[in-house]
Amino acid sequence: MANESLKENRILATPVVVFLLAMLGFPAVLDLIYSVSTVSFENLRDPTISGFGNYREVLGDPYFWSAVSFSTRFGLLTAALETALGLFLAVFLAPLIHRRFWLMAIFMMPMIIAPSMMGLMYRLVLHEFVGPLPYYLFEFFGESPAFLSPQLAFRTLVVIETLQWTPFTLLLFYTAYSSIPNDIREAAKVDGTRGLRLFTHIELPALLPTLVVAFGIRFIDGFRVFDNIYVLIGSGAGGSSTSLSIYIYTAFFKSADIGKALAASVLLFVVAFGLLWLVGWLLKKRRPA
Amino acid sequence: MGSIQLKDLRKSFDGLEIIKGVNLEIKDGEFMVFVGPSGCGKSTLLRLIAGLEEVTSGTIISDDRDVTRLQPFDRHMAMVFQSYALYPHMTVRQNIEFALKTIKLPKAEIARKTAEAARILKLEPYLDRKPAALSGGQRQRVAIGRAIVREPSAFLFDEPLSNLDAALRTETRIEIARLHETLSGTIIYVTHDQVEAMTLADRIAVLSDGQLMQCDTPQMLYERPVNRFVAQFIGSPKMNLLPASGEDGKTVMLAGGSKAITVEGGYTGKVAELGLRSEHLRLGSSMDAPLTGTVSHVEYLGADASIFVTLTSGEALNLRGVGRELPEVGAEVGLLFEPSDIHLFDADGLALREYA
Ligand SMILES: Nc1ncnc2c1ncn2[C@@H]1O[C@H](COP(=O)(O)OP(=O)(O)O)[C@@H](O)[C@H]1O
Ligand SMILES: [Mg+2]
Repeated sequence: MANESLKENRILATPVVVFLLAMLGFPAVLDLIYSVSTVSFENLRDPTISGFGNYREVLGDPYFWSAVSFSTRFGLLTAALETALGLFLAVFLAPLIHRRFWLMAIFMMPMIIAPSMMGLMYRLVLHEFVGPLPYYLFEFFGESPAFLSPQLAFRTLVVIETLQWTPFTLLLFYTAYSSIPNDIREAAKVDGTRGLRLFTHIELPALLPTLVVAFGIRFIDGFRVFDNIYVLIGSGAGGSSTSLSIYIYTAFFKSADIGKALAASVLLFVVAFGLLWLVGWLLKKRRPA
Repeated sequence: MGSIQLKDLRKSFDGLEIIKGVNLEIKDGEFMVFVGPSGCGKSTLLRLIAGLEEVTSGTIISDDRDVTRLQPFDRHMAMVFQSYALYPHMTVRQNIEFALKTIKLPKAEIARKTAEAARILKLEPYLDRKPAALSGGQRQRVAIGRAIVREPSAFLFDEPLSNLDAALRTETRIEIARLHETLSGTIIYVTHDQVEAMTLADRIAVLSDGQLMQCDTPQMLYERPVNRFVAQFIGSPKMNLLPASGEDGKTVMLAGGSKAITVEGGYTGKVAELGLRSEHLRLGSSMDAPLTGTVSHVEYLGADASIFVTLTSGEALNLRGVGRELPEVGAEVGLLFEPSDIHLFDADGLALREYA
């Protein structure tokens, strides 16, 4: 019996594994090889293996570490904000959305826009000279912060990312929230539990797995952020808005430092994989209890 | 301590009246069962009493206190849900303690009450498990445990046995009956199963389409149903109904019959139907019997048999026979009954017999 189902599993999983190997395996292997080679655009098809020099170079590069720091801070902060805001809105708006589900379509709008378009849009909106937001701030308050300056860029980017992706967590939390069986709430009510205690003791524990998933996905997505930042301000003055992805891109195309770029990308992959595994492990640990 | 009065209670959902004016008095310590077909409003009525639905009009009095507009908790009632509604992330112990912690009882007292409930319900070995790791019967007991630690003035049960398999259902039914003796609290128990209702109840309230048909002891419901609906709902198989006539207050005549039947105690009104329970019919020779027909089908049940007879007049009847004396299918039989066992209904289904 056990063997039987093992065999079945293998047969059923084969197409997926083949697909993944073809789609991801080939570039991954190429990636690994290049990352330990001396390679440039001239000898792309004929790299010379040269050991871990690329990794050493990357790990010794202060710009790499500032990119890691930027990506980590950006990922953590946006993930935290999006999760908190999404959770709050889901619970707060649940009665409204329950009656008028089409509202959800409107809330989803920011998610539909490509992040690079979002960057482009805010580039116009926040532009120091032509942007409407600075214009009106000047008009009403006589001054306007320079949203895209190195000092404020991080905060501006966090706000933009949060605005775009809170709908995603809202959707996740709303789905989870409305699937909590209502009789559990009613049982708690009959037993005298109301308001905040109902939320913290009954509803929040039921939302915890979703919380972990939402935070995990949003962190990974924020950590590897590229397009909206790149379109909005590029790598920023002194690398003030260089995320890890932008760092890799710059090394690859601008400096043609292919080996170094790919070494960095392998590091990024390892970290992302580790995080995914962590999320999976956290969820699994909760379940059998 | 635990008396509940419903006064002209009504409930509408989106303008559609579901509970149509229920008047009922539940005594302290009574085991009251609401029974009726699915969709007749039993759960809604229970939820109105619990405070989970807002009353459209009418009053709910609990121990001389008007609780109609009170929050569920302030009514001092505990509810056991059909789905058990256990908190999935809490252990059995935490589930049972939760209500006590909410009202911030001292720790020692919480521990004492929880231990007591666990002992009564034999839940001690499972206290540190989560509900997901329990069987249906155990979950049921946890749900009951959660209710009894609160020492409420009344327990409300909504079809608590419907998610259990047949064997466990009988066992749990007996446990609930025993629990009622132990706790001596008022219980309102909703079920669509008349066997559950008959075996558990002190009194049964039969509901149909949001209206109270009759509320009385199981014996009275069985012996003296006030209308055709109650007569057919209580008792299994369903009571046989035959067209009949009579308006002299003393005798009735079966349609197509030749002999008048004298009704003990008399009746008032115009008879349209005569009711006979299958267990009150006997097989006899077709010579002198008031009813004759042919056996159309026999269901052997061991001790009993369910015998289906098609009368000469074309009506189909069901009677309970003895397992060891089965008639042949197709045999001509006569059916005998005691005149005292008949029920009489008028064209509107109202019972007409007068009882001494
Ligand atoms: N919240 C509600 N909204 C609208 N209709 C409801 C609601 N709750 C119950 N009903 C209706 O009330 C009727 C009685 O339901 P219920 O009390 O659950 O019946 P029972 O428990 O006797 O099977 C059903 O027709 C049901 O559709
Ligand atoms: Mg129901």
